[in-house]
Amino acid sequence: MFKNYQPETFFDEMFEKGTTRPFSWYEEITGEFSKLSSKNMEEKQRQLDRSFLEQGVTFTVYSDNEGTERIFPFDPVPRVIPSHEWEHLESGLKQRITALNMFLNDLYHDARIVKEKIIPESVIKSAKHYQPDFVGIDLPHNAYIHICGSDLIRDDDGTYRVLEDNGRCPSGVSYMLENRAAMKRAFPQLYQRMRVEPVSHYPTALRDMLRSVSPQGGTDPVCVVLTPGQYNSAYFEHTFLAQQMGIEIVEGQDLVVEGDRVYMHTTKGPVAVDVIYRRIDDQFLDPKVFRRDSLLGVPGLVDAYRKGNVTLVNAIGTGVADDKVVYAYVPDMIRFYLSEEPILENVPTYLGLDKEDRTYILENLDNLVVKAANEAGGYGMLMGPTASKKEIAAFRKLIIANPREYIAQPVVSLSRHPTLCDSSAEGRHVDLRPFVLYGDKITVVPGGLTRVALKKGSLIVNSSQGGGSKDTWVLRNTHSMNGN
Amino acid sequence: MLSRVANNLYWMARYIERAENLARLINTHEEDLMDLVWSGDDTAKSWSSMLEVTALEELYAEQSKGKKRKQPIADFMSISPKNPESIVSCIAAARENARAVRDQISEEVWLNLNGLHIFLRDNGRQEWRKSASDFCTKIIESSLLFHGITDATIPHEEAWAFIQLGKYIERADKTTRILDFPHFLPKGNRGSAWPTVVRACSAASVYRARFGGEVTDTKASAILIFSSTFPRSVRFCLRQVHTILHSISSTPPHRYSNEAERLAGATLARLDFAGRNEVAEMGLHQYVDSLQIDLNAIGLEIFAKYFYIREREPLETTSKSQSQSQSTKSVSA
Repeated sequence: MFKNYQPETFFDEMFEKGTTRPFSWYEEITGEFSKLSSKNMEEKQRQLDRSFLEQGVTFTVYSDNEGTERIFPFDPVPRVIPSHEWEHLESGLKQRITALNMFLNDLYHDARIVKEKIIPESVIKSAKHYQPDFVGIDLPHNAYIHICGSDLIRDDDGTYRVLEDNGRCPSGVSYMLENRAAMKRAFPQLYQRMRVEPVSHYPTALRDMLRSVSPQGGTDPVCVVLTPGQYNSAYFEHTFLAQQMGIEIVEGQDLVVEGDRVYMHTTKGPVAVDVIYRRIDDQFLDPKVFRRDSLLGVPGLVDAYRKGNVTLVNAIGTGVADDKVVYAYVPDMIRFYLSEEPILENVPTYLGLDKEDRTYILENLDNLVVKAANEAGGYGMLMGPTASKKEIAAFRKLIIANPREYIAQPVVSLSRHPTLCDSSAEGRHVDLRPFVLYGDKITVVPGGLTRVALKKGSLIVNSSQGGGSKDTWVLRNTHSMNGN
Repeated sequence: MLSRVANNLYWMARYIERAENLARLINTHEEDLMDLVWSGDDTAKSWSSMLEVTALEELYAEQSKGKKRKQPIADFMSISPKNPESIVSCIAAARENARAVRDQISEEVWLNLNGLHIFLRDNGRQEWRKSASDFCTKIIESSLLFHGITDATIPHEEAWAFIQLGKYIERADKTTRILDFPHFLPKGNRGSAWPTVVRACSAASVYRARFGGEVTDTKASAILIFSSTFPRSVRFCLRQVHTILHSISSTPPHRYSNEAERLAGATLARLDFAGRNEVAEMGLHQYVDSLQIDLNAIGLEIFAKYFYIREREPLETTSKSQSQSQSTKSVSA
């Protein structure tokens, strides 16, 4: 299936640059897949798709009125990460989550980083998701972002870079787990031969983390998952995680606050809740404090939170770190709080609010990617090289009118990975979302969600815009295993 | 267990049982129509009596208003997605309820129910056209399989108890409705409908063993209402409801801790002691009607005791709709 494969000029995950020679850690894969006839391959693909549909591993698309349930398209060619690369990623992610949490704890207490002028005060004050009303609240382990799903990409020479951090409600971890389960069924021998690091302990690690941040510090805290409900596009993931952890999944209507304590309605009466893994944005949490029309939240929840009677995972106000202007300062945060150099680089970023940067941006709009500072999911973006003159002119106006709200980055072409397209492999762009847990300790599950832009030439991997996923195989470090 | 979850489990079971009973009634009636020498009018009347039994005549009239060609009633009751009480809608509703509580049911229960839903969504119409009988049989078997898997794979604790509660309340209600079917037929055809009733409830062989001969309303109700051992009889179902309610609240058998238990006990006592005389006094139609009222009341008390969650009003409604908006109503009849 790799016979006519064209790596072209991109960095390819499987083949050494400009050649058709696979990296040593991909040799087993190319061997195995080359043995499969196209009929076998189609059969495997059908079997995989069917198992996702039957399991109800679906997300909901609202492009039509009906809200169609779809399976997240899955590509059977796994992405492989050798152990030496993973070690680098893991230490970089740990460093980054530590700095981000120190930053948020600082920001919501003394704001030293602002006083020492590392980050301009105006940037923080104007950040859409900054919550000044929540200054001075102490959180268990000073943890704000308990669950982080940074998006990593690789540039032309294969360097891993952080594209964004997703410090609010990163999703996709259930796909990582279900993809793995499906691949183990479809390619059992290959999987075993390659000595892949397991990911199945993620739900246990998540549960341990939730328990570790309980405000009561008791031995048996009650933890729940708070979902907007079964019509939310990620509902499958919410139930999946609750089930795997063996905790209740609740909706806003299941909770009530009395005496600044949160309780859930049960058939045996009210039961106190200590930790809420919420999959609802800040804005919907409590209609008494945030959006008054919210039916998803719980009136009084914020009072209980302020009093320290309940922990919210992630904390309120972490969205400030998702602001793309604040993102640009993460390397400075790492230097400021940890006195270390960043292990993982950002993508070079030009800020609209900086005069020199802005001049550069406006002069080079047709070469840059422009992003609105507070949009996600591939929206609010200008792809300079492919944009029309009209679109470029429109963004020029936007940037001049509101420079704080825009950043620009060079076009990073994203590495490509062979992907099954009608029984032969073609290169498609990929990214990587590993999942990091931060409580009394930091856990990085070896793996992640590799998202793939299925449309030829597309750089947009989001599931809402034609993206799919692959299983991600982190290989064990065979040296330190000593032949185990 | 969360009140909302208990509610979902209960309705999941009710909808499955509802679909099964509908399939039973349609299937048996289709078969009988092949043998009966009724006029075209009588046949049409028998289908519309089916609507009355299931209290769907208004909805049907509304949906066929102004239409040149009315949808066949059998289609309306089986495969119409616009009828919220059709077989396919009931299965979809059962599956939606199951989806909301996937963490509470076993993998096998979910796969069975989701598989049936996908099958009906993709092939339901063709299957129904190909053979109504095969279609109905598939529904009945899937429901039985659902109950079998539930019994064999879900711990017999609270979640299981709410599923049983839904199953038996719905079954009792549907048995009374099937018993009411002849009442809505033209007088001359009523007698010939009693075998249909008995067969729709899978009671034909029980009936032969106990009575034999011609099926009459009195003998049919002796089995379908008053039998203490036949699992589709109203009395049998109510005894289960009574027992399960007590097990949920851990109340000893002869004591009562809430209105749902008391009402279930009172209705069961009616069936245990006053039964046949009451039928003679009131007439069968009136009698089953009163049973349906009792069953509804028990359902409402269960809701009040175990499922009731204050409907929350928004503090303020704005023109901007919620981006994560969803229906907060739980799926119910």
